[in-house]
Amino acid sequence: MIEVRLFATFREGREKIIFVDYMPGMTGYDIIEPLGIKEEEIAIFLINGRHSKAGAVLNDGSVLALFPPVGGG
Amino acid sequence: MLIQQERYKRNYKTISLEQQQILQQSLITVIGCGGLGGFIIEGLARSGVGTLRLIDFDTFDTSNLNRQLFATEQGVGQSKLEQAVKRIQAVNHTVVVEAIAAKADQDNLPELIQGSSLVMDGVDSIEVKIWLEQICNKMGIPLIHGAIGGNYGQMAVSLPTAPVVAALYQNGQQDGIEKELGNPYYTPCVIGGLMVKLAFDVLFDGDYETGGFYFIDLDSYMINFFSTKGDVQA
Repeated sequence: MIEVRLFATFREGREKIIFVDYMPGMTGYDIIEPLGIKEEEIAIFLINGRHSKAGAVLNDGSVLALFPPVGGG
Repeated sequence: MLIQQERYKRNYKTISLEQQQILQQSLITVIGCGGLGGFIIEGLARSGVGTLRLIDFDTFDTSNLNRQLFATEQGVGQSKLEQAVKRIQAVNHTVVVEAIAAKADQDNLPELIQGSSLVMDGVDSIEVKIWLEQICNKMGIPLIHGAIGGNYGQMAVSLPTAPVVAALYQNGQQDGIEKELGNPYYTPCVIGGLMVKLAFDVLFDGDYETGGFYFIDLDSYMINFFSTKGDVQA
């Protein structure tokens, strides 16, 4: 099982936390594409609390956290 | 005793006299005197930071009135920097102010932040936020990063040993969610205030986290620290 935690605007029309069945070889793309989130929309992509990218291969039990960019001052 | 005891009397049970002296001896540079910058500058001046160096190039417009502390109806069209200086003089005349009218960029930032105890990010450009970190890290000056958009904000301490800001915009975004969501009053107010607290904790060698970022979700009234060093956070 993969746990996906969404933040800020990524929660619009989606749950805050989503669980996805693990499949060997799956990457972050296999998670974000069904959710309708584009890679370029993601500013922070954490896997198990470490900076990563959508192309990273996931493990069973991985916890993802996705944030959009926040840039105002 | 250089410090005016009565002025800071309500600080002392929380900010000790020794810490108050650290504030008085500090030179804090704030880049940007708008939304975040306004609340940051107000907090630093009231708290008794000895020297404030303010950097801005912009003028107030009507759409700033909803949130920017130094924006007034009479001040529309006037320099944000000049209004900030007037405000500091009105609330704490003991603060030494260095006001520099400049648009921060890669070339002028080293000179603008030279000699600072700490730098605070109140800019609204992701590109400048990243430059600011590169230059602060290079010069060994602690940076308090902050950014807002809609009901959300983030802040972080960036140190030469623990850079963080560039990694918060990893797909090269030029704009954030603020372009879509705007900025209501309370977001710069809350995040600007928290950034002042974080700056003091850095100056006092207090209790704060590095190697990650604080995310503030005002939809849920939550502040969480997200380590980016490999520890899963709830």
